[in-house]
Amino acid sequence: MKKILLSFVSILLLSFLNINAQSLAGVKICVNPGHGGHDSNDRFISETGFWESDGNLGKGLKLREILESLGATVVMTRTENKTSDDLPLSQIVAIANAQNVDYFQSIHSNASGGTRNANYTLILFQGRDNAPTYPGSLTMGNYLADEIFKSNRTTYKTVRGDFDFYGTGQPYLGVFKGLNMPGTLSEGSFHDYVPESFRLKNTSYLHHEAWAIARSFLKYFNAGEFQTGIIAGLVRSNFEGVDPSYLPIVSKGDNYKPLNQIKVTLQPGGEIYNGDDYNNGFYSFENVQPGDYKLFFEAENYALDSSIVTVTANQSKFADKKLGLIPNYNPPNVVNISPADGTLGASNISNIIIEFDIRMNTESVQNVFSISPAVSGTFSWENLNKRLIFTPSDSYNAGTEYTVSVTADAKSHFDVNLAEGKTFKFTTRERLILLSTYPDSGTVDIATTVFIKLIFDEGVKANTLAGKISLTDINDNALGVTVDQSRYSEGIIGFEPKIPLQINSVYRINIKEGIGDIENVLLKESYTIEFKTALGKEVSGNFLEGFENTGVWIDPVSAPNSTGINLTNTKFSISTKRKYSGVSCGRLDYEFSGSGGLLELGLSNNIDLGENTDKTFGIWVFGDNSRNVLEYWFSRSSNSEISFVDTIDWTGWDFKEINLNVLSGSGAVQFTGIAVRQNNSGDSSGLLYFDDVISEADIVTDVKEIDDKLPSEFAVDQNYPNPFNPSTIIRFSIPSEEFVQIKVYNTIGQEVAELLNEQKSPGTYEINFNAGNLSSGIYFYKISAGNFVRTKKMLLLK
Amino acid sequence: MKTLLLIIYFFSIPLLAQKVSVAENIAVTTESEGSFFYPTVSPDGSAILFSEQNQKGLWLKNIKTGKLEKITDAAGAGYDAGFSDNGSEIFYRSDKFVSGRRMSSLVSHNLLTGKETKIENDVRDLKLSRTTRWKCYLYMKENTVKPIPGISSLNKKQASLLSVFIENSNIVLYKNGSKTNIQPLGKGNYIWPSISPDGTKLLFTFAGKGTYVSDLNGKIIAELGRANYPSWSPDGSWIVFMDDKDDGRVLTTSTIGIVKFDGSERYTLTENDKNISIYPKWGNTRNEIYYNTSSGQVRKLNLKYE
Repeated sequence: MKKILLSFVSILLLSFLNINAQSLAGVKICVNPGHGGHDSNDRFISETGFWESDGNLGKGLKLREILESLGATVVMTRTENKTSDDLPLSQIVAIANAQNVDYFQSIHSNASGGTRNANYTLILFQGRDNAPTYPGSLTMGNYLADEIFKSNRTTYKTVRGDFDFYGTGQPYLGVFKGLNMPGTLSEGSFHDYVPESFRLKNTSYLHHEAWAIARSFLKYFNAGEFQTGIIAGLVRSNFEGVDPSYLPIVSKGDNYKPLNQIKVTLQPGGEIYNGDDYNNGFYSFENVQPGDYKLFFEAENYALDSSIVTVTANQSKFADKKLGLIPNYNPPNVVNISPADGTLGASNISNIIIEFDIRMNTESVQNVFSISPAVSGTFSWENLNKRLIFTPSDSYNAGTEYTVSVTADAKSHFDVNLAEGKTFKFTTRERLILLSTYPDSGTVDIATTVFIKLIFDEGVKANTLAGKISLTDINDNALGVTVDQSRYSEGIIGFEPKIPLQINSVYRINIKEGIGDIENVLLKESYTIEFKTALGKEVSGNFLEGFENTGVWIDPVSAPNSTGINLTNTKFSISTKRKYSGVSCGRLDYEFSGSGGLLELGLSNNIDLGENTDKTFGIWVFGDNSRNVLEYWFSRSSNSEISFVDTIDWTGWDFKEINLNVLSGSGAVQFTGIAVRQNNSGDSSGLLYFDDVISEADIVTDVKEIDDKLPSEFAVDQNYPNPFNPSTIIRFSIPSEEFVQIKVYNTIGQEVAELLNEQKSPGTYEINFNAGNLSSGIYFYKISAGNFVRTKKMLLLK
Repeated sequence: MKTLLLIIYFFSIPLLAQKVSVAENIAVTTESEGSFFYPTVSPDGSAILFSEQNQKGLWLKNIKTGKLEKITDAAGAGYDAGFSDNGSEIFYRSDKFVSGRRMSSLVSHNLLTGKETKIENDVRDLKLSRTTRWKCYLYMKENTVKPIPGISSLNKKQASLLSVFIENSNIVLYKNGSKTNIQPLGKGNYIWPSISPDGTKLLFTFAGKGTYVSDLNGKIIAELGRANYPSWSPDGSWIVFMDDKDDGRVLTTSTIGIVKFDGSERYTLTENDKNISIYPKWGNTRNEIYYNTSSGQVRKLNLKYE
């Protein structure tokens, strides 16, 4: 029986291999793009601006694409390059093991660390050179070395066991320790060899190595070959050399300068490859059918040239080309400058850019460049030496006029003088400006859990803020706050009181002059922003949902009516932080991708509210002052009903209610979800919290006795503020115990709100009136206390 | 702000905190016996099972007699190997790679007779469950969960068996024949999942983000921060973990720590010295923790609770 089973498995496997040529169906591979996060564990080459983690990820993502197109299941240890993507080695191993993969491939590039003129291909596996822990690692290692060596055209290849390579005689590389499957680590080439470092900045070059790794996998899994090939090559100048400090390997032609912005055309087919600006001259055409082709090479100021190449399946064919220069003896002109002549309020750290219409002799231009008052800085060139960039070493002086000049002694690459010299002026920013605050000065009805936001016209420097910003109460006592530093670079300082503020109380945000921005420009005025918190609000009723469990709400990313949202940065989750009540609340991070966006936070199961709509329905919402629009969605008799709730112009917790009688139709009402509709003049991203969905809500707004001296007569003050939007405060005094009623009427005498209807003892009181559900216009409030009756007018302006 | 809050969270000292200290740190294996990794204790605490660094082979060491016995040389045997609930059998997998494809066999090794039985032979995608600390009741064969045959208590318990696997990077819970896919923190790589001894909570690590305790619906109960290779204490009140750090190439430091399952108390138990301590597991009481050093010595910590 066992034999029969074994034979059956073998036949199945053989059949699988034969039938599925060039297929990796059923195979599971873990791809580990090494390092990550541009942090201390990463590797950076300052001359070229290359991060190893970027190169490894570019190769890894392309490898996944190719392997998945072959039917393989690919497990990636990372797909992004944030700090959190720099996983501990133990987690990388655990991911591969937990997924039960057949093979583990870690992708890297190498560094000599000293000589910087090495560029070979190294494949590492666990074990002795001739005794791998898993035999498959050595087999695959040899395939990888062959393919990557051919693909990257390095100087040589070697396949080593880590016990011997590092001379420890025992396991060394952490990424292999604990793996329960064969694995290899490929160091495809050397990123600290400058010409190679420039090549590794080219996305197509990274993809080219990914194809080499994919070919290795096809061999390893005995799964056929690619039926197409690749054409690749390097386009260089036939007369210019690279900087000798690159230590170019002459046998590989790296002593010739690679050309930028090349254009290579493949015929037949007409496919075009446009080269990058990273000093590598690399081009490639993927998935090319076997056969004969002609390539046409173009580069500005260089003579057109061509090559003939024959493509073979499952291979890369190379066609390198050195192009000859065509001189241009026209006098060069300055065609663009930045900052523009006469600019006021220019950035205090802006680069100075001068563009020419012909490639320039860089040294001759730099020799005749001047700036007054003098500023030290460095020069760099882009766009085929036609764009000069002067980067100041430090910030300019604030509020100062600078004069920049390039004389006509500047010469083109072809030794022709500039047609005429160029002089221009700009004046730097003088001061940091406070654009807006939330709350704004003089505002009332602010949540006691307010999230305060100060917005400046430039990113602020954290080390200039000490002692400059405080939150104080009416007696100037400073309050403890929690600060959000994450948006300092955008000029946004956010903070919130550690404990909720007192209701109906005045607070001040104190901002002192001297706050500095990232351009070392200072705030030159001090501000005091005074605001008043809202009266307390207690809500009772039927608690329908408390945002305590996952699965109740559908993430907007998956909701059918969501549109125009950034899928990566939009997410709903249950959070234990910042809850209003219970253990947790709902947290909605969102970002709209364009205009007209809509976020649907739908319920998995609708909540039945019954047929009676004469009741208040609401949700506690922690606003983000984004000025986007909050909506509640309902269903009634199978019709969708959308109810506008409010423009989100607050922060902190507030109960946002509607009366269900605004819904049209008849029959039972079901609550189906919450929506945030993009206001195109609002913020494109934000963060909201939700807690406690309540029906038949009874909202009690605290009436606060504000003076312990007994009044001698009846009085009603004019509401404050007036005009108002949407809240205002009404103060009244009664000298004796009375039954007090306060009602609000519109201009045709209809009662629109009842604010108070109860017995009150002698004293002075304030009551908050929120007209969020009313439209703009004149309203009247009428107070009745015993025989005392008084009516006053107020203006709601939305 | 997130960082600030996290720091406050970690450094807040709870009222009436329990103090936990290491009374003894004892060598379980000697250098002459070899290098061993991933210790797991038997249900009665009398023996320790461990493997090689690359999960190849299994050894059993009797705590009382000191006798070291090789169970198998099989590749992959050390990964998720476990005991039957009475400790008489060990279940492990034996891997081989045919044309690069992993073919796994599930083997039962009887500790009394030494007899080995192949429960499954050369199948693809075989995984043993992590039902509780040591018990292996279920395994997964090519996306189908099956009970391990021949376990005396299985029939009684099968109806309520709860097990957790990783499938397509997600946590998957199996209970009463139904399958629940859980992503408590959204898309990403979930690793080291395990169910609390009382069967009500889930412990897992979300790669790059940290270790968490959630309920069985994925609702987060506690964020434990950096805590790799976590596992539950026998009474479910503590979690042992390693805090390992590397330079992207090799492990540079690691200590063993424990944390209350709700994150309220946290203690570091080993020094950050040459003996880099990794891969801890509880003994059969909350007073014992086994781990191995990076050089492969298995050691035991005896804990004291005050």
